[in-house]
This record gives sequence, C-alpha cells and structure tokens, in this order.
Amino acid sequence: MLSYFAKRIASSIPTLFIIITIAFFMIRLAPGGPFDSERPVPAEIAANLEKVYHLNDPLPVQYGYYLLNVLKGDFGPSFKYHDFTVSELIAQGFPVSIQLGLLAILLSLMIGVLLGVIAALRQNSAIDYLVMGLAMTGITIPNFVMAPILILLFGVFWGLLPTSGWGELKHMVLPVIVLSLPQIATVARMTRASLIETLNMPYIRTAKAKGLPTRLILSRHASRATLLPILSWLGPATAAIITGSVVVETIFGLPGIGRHFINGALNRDYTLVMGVVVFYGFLIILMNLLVDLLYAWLDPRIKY
Amino acid sequence: MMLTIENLRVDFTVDSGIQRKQTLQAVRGVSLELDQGENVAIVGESGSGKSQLFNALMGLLPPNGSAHGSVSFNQQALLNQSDKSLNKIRGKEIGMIFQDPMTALNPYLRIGKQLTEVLEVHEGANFNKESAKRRAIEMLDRVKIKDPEQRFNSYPHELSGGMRQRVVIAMALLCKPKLIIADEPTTALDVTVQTEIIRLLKDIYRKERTSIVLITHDLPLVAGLCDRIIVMYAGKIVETGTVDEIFYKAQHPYTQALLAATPTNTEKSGKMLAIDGQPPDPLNLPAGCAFSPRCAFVEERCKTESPPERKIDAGHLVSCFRENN
Amino acid sequence: MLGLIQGLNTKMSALIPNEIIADNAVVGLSPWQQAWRRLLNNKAAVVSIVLLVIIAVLCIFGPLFSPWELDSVDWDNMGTPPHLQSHHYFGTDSNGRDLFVRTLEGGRISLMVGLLATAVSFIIGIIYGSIAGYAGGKTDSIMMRFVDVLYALPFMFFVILLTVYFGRSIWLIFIAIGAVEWLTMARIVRGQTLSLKQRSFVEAARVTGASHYSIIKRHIIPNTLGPVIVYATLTVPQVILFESFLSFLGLGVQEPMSSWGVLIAEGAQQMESAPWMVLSPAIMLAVTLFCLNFIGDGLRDALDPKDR
Repeated sequence: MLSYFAKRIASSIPTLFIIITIAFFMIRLAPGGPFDSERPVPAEIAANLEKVYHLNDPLPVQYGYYLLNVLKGDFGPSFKYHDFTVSELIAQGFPVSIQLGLLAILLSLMIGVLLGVIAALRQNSAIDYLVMGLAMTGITIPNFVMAPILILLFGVFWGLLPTSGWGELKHMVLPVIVLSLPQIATVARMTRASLIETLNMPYIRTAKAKGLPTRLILSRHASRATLLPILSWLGPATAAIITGSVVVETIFGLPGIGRHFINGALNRDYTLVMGVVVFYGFLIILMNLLVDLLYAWLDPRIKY
Repeated sequence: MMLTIENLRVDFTVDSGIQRKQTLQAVRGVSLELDQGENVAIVGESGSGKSQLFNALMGLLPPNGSAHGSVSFNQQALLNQSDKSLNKIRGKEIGMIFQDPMTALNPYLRIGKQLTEVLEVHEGANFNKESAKRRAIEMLDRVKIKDPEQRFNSYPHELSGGMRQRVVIAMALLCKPKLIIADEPTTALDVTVQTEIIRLLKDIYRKERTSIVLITHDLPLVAGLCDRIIVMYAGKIVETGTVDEIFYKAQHPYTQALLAATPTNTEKSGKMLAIDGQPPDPLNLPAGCAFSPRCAFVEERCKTESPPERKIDAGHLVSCFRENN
Repeated sequence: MLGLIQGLNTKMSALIPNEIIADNAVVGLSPWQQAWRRLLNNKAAVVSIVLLVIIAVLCIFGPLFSPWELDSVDWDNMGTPPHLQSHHYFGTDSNGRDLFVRTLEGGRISLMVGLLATAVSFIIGIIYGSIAGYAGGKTDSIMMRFVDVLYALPFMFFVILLTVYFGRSIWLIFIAIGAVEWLTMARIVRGQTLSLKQRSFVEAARVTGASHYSIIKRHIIPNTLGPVIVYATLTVPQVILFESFLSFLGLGVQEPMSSWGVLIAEGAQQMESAPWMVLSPAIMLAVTLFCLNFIGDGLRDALDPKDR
C-alpha cells in the first residue's frame, strides 16, 4: 500500500513540473510581455525584475531560480498591484475560494447522490424523468446565465438574498448554488447510471435470493460499487468548480482567487495569472491524487 | 406437496427502439410439483426458459419481466408477492446457487460478512455475531473449504472459481433451507472442479435430505444426482420422467436428440452428434409444437397444433403426437 | 459495424438475462440504418434536430432580412424593448444597436466555433488515438502517458493565458479549444482500436498484406466512428459553452463583433432596466445547448443502446 502511494505521488510530479515549465517559458516568450526586451520598462521595475528573475543570467539558470522559487511557494511580485506579491494575493483570496468550492462539492455530493438514487430506484417513472430533465437543465444552462437569473429572482424581485458582498452565510447562498447546480446535475446522472448498472449485477441478485431487505441491499451491497465512479468525479469536479468560481466570483463580486485571476488576465498582470495557473494546477493534481488513493483504499481488488 | 407450480408463464417486454415493443414468452405455461426431499433436474438448452422459471418464483425477474400463474410453497403463495413477504422464504426456506461464482459474490465485501448476513436477516433478534461466525466457519468446513477461519476474512477475488462456488453453496445452506435451487452450478467451472461440486451437492442431499432442483443443459451430469428429470424446450415442458425413463425410454424426439448429442455417445458413431437447426427465436415461435422445425418425425398437425401432455407411465409424461417410439 | 452488432447483442442480454438472447435485428438493415431508425424514434432528439436546423438557418440568413447592421446605431431607439414596427424584433441595447441582428450574428460565431473546434479535435483525436492503439506496446504507453499528463493540466487557464499573451483572437479560441478537446477523443479511439485490432477482419487484412496505413484507414477508423460521433456531438455544446464563457469574461470575441457570451455579459449588467437584452442571447444559447445535448444523448442511445 505504501509503495503504491509513493508511486502514485511520484507519477504526479512530472505533471506539476510540466505546468511550471510551460508557465515559465510562456511568461518569458510572450510577445509584448514584461520580459520582451524591445519594450522599455521603468527603471524601478526593471531593477525589481532583475532582482527576482535574474534576467542577466542564462535562461536555464533563470529557469532553475524560478523552479526553486515556485517550490518555496514564491511566485514573485504582482505586476499591477505593486505592493503585493502574487503569493500574498493568492493567500488572500484562497479562504474565500476554498469555502465556496468545498461547500459546492459537499452540496453536489449530497443532493446529487440523493436525486440519482431516487431516479434509479424509480427508473422510467415520472420522478425519474423529472430528475433527469432537471439534471439536463442544470448541465445545459451555463453558470453565467444561471447567476443573473438567480440574482434577478432572489435579489431583485423578491429581495431574499444579497447579490454581492462577503462575510456572512447569506452571502454564500447564491454563489454556492450557482457553482453546484451543474455538479449536482452531473452527480445525479452519474449516480443514476451507476446504481442502475450495479443493481443489474449478479451479486445483487444473490443478495436478493438470500432474502436481504432492499434497504440492506442498497446500503451494504450496492453502495460501494455505485459510489466509486462518483469518487473519480471529484477530480474533474475540482477543475470545473475552479473554472466556475472564476465566473461566480466575478458576478457576485467576491474577493476570491478567481476574481484576481480575471482581473490579472484583463490587466495583463503576467506574474499573477501565471501564479494562479500553477496554483490551480497544483490543486487539481492534488485532488486527482487524493481520488486515486481513496479509490485504492476502498476497492479491495486493486493491488498495490 | 412442498412446491406446486401451476400454469406459470413468464413474459419479457423487449424494446429494440426500432420496432414496436414486443413480448417475449420465456416460459409458456409450466406446471410441476415437487415433494419434500425430492431431487429434480430441469434440463434444456439455453433459451428454454428453465432459469426464468425459477427466477420468477423467487421474485428475481428483471424489471421488464412479468410472471403469471400460481406458485405455492408449503401452502404459501410465492408469485408476485412483495419483497417483504418473499424475504421470509428467500435464503431461509429456499436457497439458491448461481451459474457464475465469479460474479455471484460481492467483490467489495468479505466472505464472512456475506455469509453471516444471511443469518443476520433471518434470525432477527436471535442473531448473535459470535455464533453466526462459528456457524459460518463450520459451514465453510462442511463444503470442504480449507482454512475456513482464514477464508472467512478473505475477499472473493482471493479465491478460485471452485472455492467461490463452494462459498455460494455454503451461503445457500446456512439457514438449512428445505429446497435448494441450483442454476447451472457447474457450467462456469473447470471440468475437474465440476465433478467435485456435483459430489458435494450429492453429499449434501444425502446427509441433509434437502430437496435440490438442478437446472442444467448437461444431461449426463444429472444421472447420478437426481430422481426425476424434466426436459424443457422453448418455455414448455416436453417430457418428464425418472432418470431411467428419460435415459432408456425417452419418448420425445427432442429428448432423444439431446441424449444422442451428449459426448458419451461419440464412441459409437465416431463423431459427435448435434441437433439439427437452431433453437427457435423466442420472439417468433413456430405455431404448434415449437420443436417441429427441427424434428425428424414432424407431421402436418405438429405445425399447427400444440401436442397435449400424454401419460406413458405413472410419472412419465410426454408432449408429442407421435406414439410408440 | 461488427462493434455495433455486438453492442446490440450486449444490450439484449442486459435487458433479459443471458438465457434468452434473441436475434432481434431487423432483417436487411445495416447497423447504421438501425441506429438511424432508433434516432428517429427518439422524440427529444428529432425535435432537437429540427430546432437546431431552424436556429442555424436563422443565424445564417436571418440578418439579411433585417434593415439593421451589426453595429449600426438607431438613434431613435436606444435601449428599447422588442418592437416590430421599427424592425427591432429583439429590442435594442443601450447604444441603440439592434439585438436581433447582434444575437444572430453572435449565433454564427458560436456555432462556427463549436463546429470548427470540434472538427479540429475530431481529426487530431482520431489520428492520434488510432496510431497509439494500433502501434501498441511502448509507443502506445508513451503516447497515452503524454495524453494523461496533458489531461491533468488546467487547460481553461492556459487558454486564458494564451489570450492574455497573444491578444484576443477568434482563431486562437478555435485552436485552443480544439487542442484541448482532442484528448478525450484520442482516448476513446485508442480504446476502440485496441479491441478492434484483435478482430479477425483486421487480422485478415494484415494477412493479405495490407499496409498499416490502409488498415488504419479502411478498417480501424471507420469502426471507431460510432462512439466518436457521439462524443463529438457532445463536444460541440461544450465548445460553444467555453467560447461564451470566455466572451462573457471579456476574454473571447471582441467588440464590435458579437457572440452570445458577449451579449449575455452586456445584458447581465443591465438586467434590471433592460431584461430583454440578456433574454434573447440566453434563450438562444440555452436552446442550442439543450438541442445538442439531446441529439448527443439520442445518438448514444441509438448507436450503443445499452443504457436505455
């Protein structure tokens, strides 16, 4: 088991390495970017750049420095926010983004699994069609359409919830809903398909033939096989929720990483965008790693 | 009578998405009776409806299947009962053994859990974890599994196919059922293992006096184990009789063909005999006798009329127009 | 074709236990024809196809029938709701530009991006996947390892990065999206190829001395098309969504060009005073995405009816 863990962790390092490498060379080679020698830079910034990026050294040495810095968690100073380093900006936004993300994942799992199980157990009934129709809607309507609609309804027309701001629980409600709707839909569809497939397994028939009540068949015999595929959803879901958080934080004006990222992109704040990409890459890789390890732990057939 | 099946029919709704929904008749009016301690084999090709017959009475049909007719087990109605009332019988009064031991056990649960849960659900308040474990281990020993204590904590994938089938048998036996339905219990196994499993079933029958219904396509397998043989073709019983009656005085051309096609008959002719033609398309059964398109003795009326059941001897019944074969 | 026929049989066995596997295929129909019939029996898919054709025709020809241009300003009607007499069927934005024309022009862009980017990913994915699967062994594992690594990258962010560096060009979006989406396509094709190359008809072709190129072209690729077409159909809405997403954030299509994402972003800002601005592009986008998803689902059921 330990050796499998070690192997799996080792195999995710190259991916991270590639992300950092691409990041480094993109930042360096960007035409009209901050490192384009054709473009004059204010002396003060030039001195700063030199200090951080060792521009007078050969490129491989620069790369080495960059790698070292990133490993230390240092993405350099922001180009636009002169008083902040990229790491500070990420650290600032992280609590907001992680709260949103975790809540969305939790909500998606709970509601999605519940709806999926109901639909699967009532396969081809009106409830099933309703749930699947809603799921299709959830997957199809983009979050940047859903968010304005919800703001219009809950914020403007009914005045039930705030449409911007941060700090209290009520501020999280709409963003988390917008963030999780597509994921709830995805989880519901996956759960339904997975449970239907599992219930057709011969070992479920064995359990029935043994006289086990439906409740026990579901909780003991069908649960693990049904939920394992949902586990692998967590990887892509992290990526999707991060992507979604960019939109949600922009629309609801939340001080998370996503908004920094978009502001950075619009302001051509190269180091900030770069840093966020590497950070997001790291998060996604970490999540995929966790999923694989959990999978190995939960499925007795996987050999280490 | 312990088990009485009257005019059982099993239909499946088939939806190919191209044509109108069709009804597939898997079992077309089967009646049979089984006494306590009796040992019966149901023989037929795949598609003859022999498995669906027993899936229907155990309430194990897939959602697109439906059963009609009446089945009673010790005066209790079985057919189309709620899961709740069936669960008092399933696993307790009637045990079931399945064809493929590789998939019949839950890969995510330990053998021990899958065994003891049978006692857990059927003994209710009397359930005791320690004694359940002891009894499960005894049962594993009883079906000749080595190191039963150790195997109790194994996962199914750690066991060979033959071992897994023994576990499935142990599972079916745990509550000392009155009837065991064994659905092709040896088909998925190696030949050497097959004999061991049959020997085990025989031994169980001799010692526990548990009735066994053996569902199989393998006629010679049945000979040493069962009292009575029921031959099914295209959802109907075509011939019933004792082992001797079926093996030496078979009346139905299908039974005869089946006997001729068994490997033991190869030496005489030097080549393996096969039954001509294909099993019928269950969605498109021939009118009259379903075997008529493949029958060597086919007559004109076979193509339009269904032959009635005819008594040859006390327990020897055949559904064929042709007499004195 | 063989794969499809096998798919049909698996489906039958899933519906009714192994015991009764009926040869239910309709006589005289190729698997593709059967799939087509099955698709035509799927009401949601048929309605979606019809709607999608209407939307496409409207987007292509609709602007020709309006007196307004993409960026012409109607000084008399600024920020007015839908109004027939002035030919502002969807109303105007706060700059007095006609939303009917802008929405349909935006639709052209969205549909074009969807189709082109999917086509790019389709071609790359098929070539890459079939070569990896056919070659097998080390080549295969290296090629697929590369895909795995790319898979783990947060691509959306790289696309945003690209737009930051190279300016916001629609061509960049085509290429970037196409380059991302081919990964899944390659995996599907590779998986299919692995099983196909064991089949007897591929062996037979090899025995008769067919070149690797012609085996891949004649025998492998045509047989992987079923699942790939399904995936491609489901990729189009993803791509359209992605483009709208970038445009919404201001990183995609730029003014004065229009796109559904751009229009929704503009509309969302004035939702309280001018709700029609967000409504028409949002409805068009949602309907298009719905249709494409239903068609994709319908195709999947028709080609591989196992999950029905």
